[in-house]
This record gives sequence, C-alpha cells and structure tokens, in this order.
Amino acid sequence: MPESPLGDEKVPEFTAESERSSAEPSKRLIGKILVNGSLAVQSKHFNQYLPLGKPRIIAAYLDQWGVDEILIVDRCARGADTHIDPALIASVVETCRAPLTVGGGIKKVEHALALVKAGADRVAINSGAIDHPLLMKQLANTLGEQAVVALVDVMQVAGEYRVYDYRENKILGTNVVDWCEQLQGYGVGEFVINAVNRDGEGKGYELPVYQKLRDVLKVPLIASGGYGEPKHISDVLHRGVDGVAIGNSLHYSEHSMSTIKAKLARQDIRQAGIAYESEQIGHFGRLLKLDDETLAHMLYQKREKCWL
Amino acid sequence: MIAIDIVVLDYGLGNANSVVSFLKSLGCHAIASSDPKQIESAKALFIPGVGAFNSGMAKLEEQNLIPVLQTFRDSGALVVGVCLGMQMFAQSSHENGNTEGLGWIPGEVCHLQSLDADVNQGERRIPHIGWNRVSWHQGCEWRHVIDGDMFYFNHSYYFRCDETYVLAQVPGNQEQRLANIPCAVRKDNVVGFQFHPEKSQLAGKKLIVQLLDEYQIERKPLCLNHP
Repeated sequence: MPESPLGDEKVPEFTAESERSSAEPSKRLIGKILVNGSLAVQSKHFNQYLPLGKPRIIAAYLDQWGVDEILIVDRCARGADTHIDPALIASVVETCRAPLTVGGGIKKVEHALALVKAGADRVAINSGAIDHPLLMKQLANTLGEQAVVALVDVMQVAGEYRVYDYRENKILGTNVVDWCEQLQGYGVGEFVINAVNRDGEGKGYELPVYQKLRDVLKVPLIASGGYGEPKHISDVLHRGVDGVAIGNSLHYSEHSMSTIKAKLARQDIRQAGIAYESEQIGHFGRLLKLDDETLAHMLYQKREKCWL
Repeated sequence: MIAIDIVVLDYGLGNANSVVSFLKSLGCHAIASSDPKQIESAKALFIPGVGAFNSGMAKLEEQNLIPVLQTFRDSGALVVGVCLGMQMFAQSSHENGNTEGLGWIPGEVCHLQSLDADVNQGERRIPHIGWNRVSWHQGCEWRHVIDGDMFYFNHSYYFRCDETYVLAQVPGNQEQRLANIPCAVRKDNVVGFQFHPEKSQLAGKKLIVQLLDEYQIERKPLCLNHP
C-alpha cells in the first residue's frame, strides 16, 4: 500500500475504531415538513392538504425526537417572485438544532443566499430547475455542490419513470434518469426523489426507481413518498439509497423518530444514533414535551383539523 | 447593554444565524456581525460557512475583512472556523479553480476524490453528507469527552495538511479502500472543524464547551450525561 501521512499505518495515533464496519456516514432519516405559506400541512398526492400547525413547533418536536435532518418545502410558492420566506426559516432555527434543507420557489441565487443566511444548511430546487436547469450550476458555483439538492417528483407512465411538474399536475416528457444525470453534471450534490402517487399512501417506497437511479448517480440519493412502517425503510435502503424522507407519518405519534431508529438499529441497518441533551429525557426514559414557556413564546395554539 | 463575548462573522455567505442560536443555547453572549469594531472587542470569533471557497474568499475581500481577521488572529484570541470557515484557513483551495486562502494553517483544500485516489483508489459517496463517527488524536485534551461521538458533515472538499495540525479524523476503512478524512485542525489559537458542531446536537455542545472553557468565555453549565 502506498505511503501517505493519512494512510492506515498512522492510525494508532488516533483512537482505534474496532467496532466500525463502514467509513461512510450513517443512513439518514429525514423529517419532511410541507408548508403552505406560514402553515405546516399534511398532504395526499399533493392535491389535498390538512393543516398541522406552525412549522417551527413541528421542527422543534422532530428535532427533540431525534431526527437526523429536516427538509422544509413550500409547494405553494409558485409566483414569479415568491419563494419560501427566509423569516420562517430564521424562526425555525431559533428552537431547532437539526440540519435544515429548505426549498420552495427558489428561482435565483439570491433567494438561496437569503435562506442560507436565515439558517438553511442546504437548498432544495424542484420547479426552478425545470424552468432553468442551469440555475443548479450557478447555485453549485456559489454555495458549493454540497449545498445544492435537487427535489424531483416522479410518476410512472407505461413502464417509464418521468418527471412530474407539481405546479400544473402535469407529467413531463423527460425521463427521470436522464434528468438526474443532467443535473448531476451541473453539480447537484444530492437527489431527493419523490414518488407522487405514493405520497400519503403509507404503503412503501417506489423501489424500482431508486434502483435505476442508484446505478447512474454518484451523489447521495434520498427516497421520499410512501413511508408507512419501518420495514419500508429497510426495503428501500437495500436498494442503495443514502436516506429516507418521512413526512405525514411522523406527525401523529410522539417520539415517532426514536421508535423508527430503535427498530432499524435492531436490524443493524444504522447505529441508534446521536446523543441528545439529557434534560430532554424525563422519568421512565420518556422524552419531554417542550416547556410551556417555550411553547407560549412560539405562540403555540391548537388547530381544528379538517381537509382543505 | 450586555457585553458581547463572541462574534459570528456575517460575511454574506454562511449560516451565521444557526451558529449564533447554537452559542446562545450554551449561554454565551453572541451576535452575528461584520463590524470591525465589534470583532476587535470580542473574546472569540467564529467564522461559519456554507459556500464555495472562491465565493467565500471573494466576500471577505469585498468587505475588506481580511486585515480585520488578521489582526484578531494575531491578538491570540480564539478563532473557530466551521466547514468553509475552516477551509479558508488554508493557503489555497482547488474548488472552482485555484484560490488563495488566509494561509493561517499550512495546507491546501482538495476534493475528497483525490484523497481516496491517492491513498488506495477507493470510491466513496461525495459529497460526504450526514452523521459520521470522529476519532480524536491521542494528544487531544478533550478526546475523553467526545471520542466516538457522531458529528454532522456536509462537504466535498477536505483540508490536506501536515499531521501535526490534525486533531481528528473520520476513520477510513481498508475493506472499502477509503482513507481517513482529516476533520479538525488546530494551530495555536486557530481551530477549525470540517463538521458542523452547531448541528451536531450534544456532541457539538460538549466540543465547543471545551474550547470556550480553555479561553474562559462565559457560558451556562451544560448537562453532559448521555441520555
């Protein structure tokens, strides 16, 4: 083996890591928060929405429950100069420590810079890339490829996976594999592939599309749309994805994330995870609710639930 | 008015907001600023960064911040660089062509692909994104507090330097033919982290607390027991 100052011969200077099997990062569990303006919503096939509450409260809970990352997307920011509000992200960052990827109507580098300044670690682009693919190149040049995420909606038509434009509920002529390869060439650092007809169904991920994409994509690949139970995660992770995004199902049970992680750890799929502050753990090892003062500060209020 | 202990450099590229909110959660008096007077009077300076190397250096130059940073470093006060903030300590970077850095720690910033290619032709997923274990140098004083903890990474480039400056690395794997990634560097009062302590939950807090205490910067007590 060639000599190098960073080669394996010099490792004894550092603590041995005998129990490690992989040098790659842990598979990621990403909490997805869909927003409509200032309100978090639950969605079904992206055409029915149920209000959930303030995004910052949901983000703070997901963070406490041990999420690896949070993806916040506004699918309603559609106008020429509307994009997800940086003030919303700044308010989320006050109480949420988890890494944030933010998307929704980003059409210019300046939009992305404003979001990063507000606290986003990465930006996610969907329709902005459909209208102007070279935007991805400009973003990668300014923010670095690690901060540029492509969010791609897919639908299956006659055995082929095609790009779907959520703004007009229209299936485009573009093959998803070709599209992702093109964007990868522009410096996109990660793909979140969202199977539209699986959204809100809870019946598992669209496995074949991830298999096809894994063969051509060198950058991280995240599966989205269809989560219902932990088994669905192991199924799609076996297709080689680097993480999964979970939306709706996280919102209705406390500690949802911790439960999923524990189940995956038992199957040796990922390490149980990251240490959170012990102040958040109460008697019987139960995670604590945010204190009333924090909730009051966030203007927490219960909302009546009804389909919009 | 409360005296400001820590300035988080707000140079138009980077998540200054999340770093300030993280430091406040530790009980520090921190603000985001690029005002030379405020920087000068601070006890510690954090340089965050989400961005490409060339655009980062261009922003520093545009705002005439380099001499201000230089004076601050020469005073011996604590300077902490995170991600791009850390990479800018290098002499140069290969990201989007060759760009000169601050040159505070001898070394250069190279693509991760070259790391594995040089050492043993392994192929890893780049960008390196997510939670990974970090192994600390035997001589590192805070090793016992955080060894084996996971930190949050999000990068495609790494700091290549002499091992005397390397505090920590992401351990490689012989079977996968992947090399160790140097992920924390230090030269005197200049400390840099490739991972994001502000995004690394308890591990990040434990780490930064070690540094703050070394420089006697005021903070509230932290509960260090694992849940």
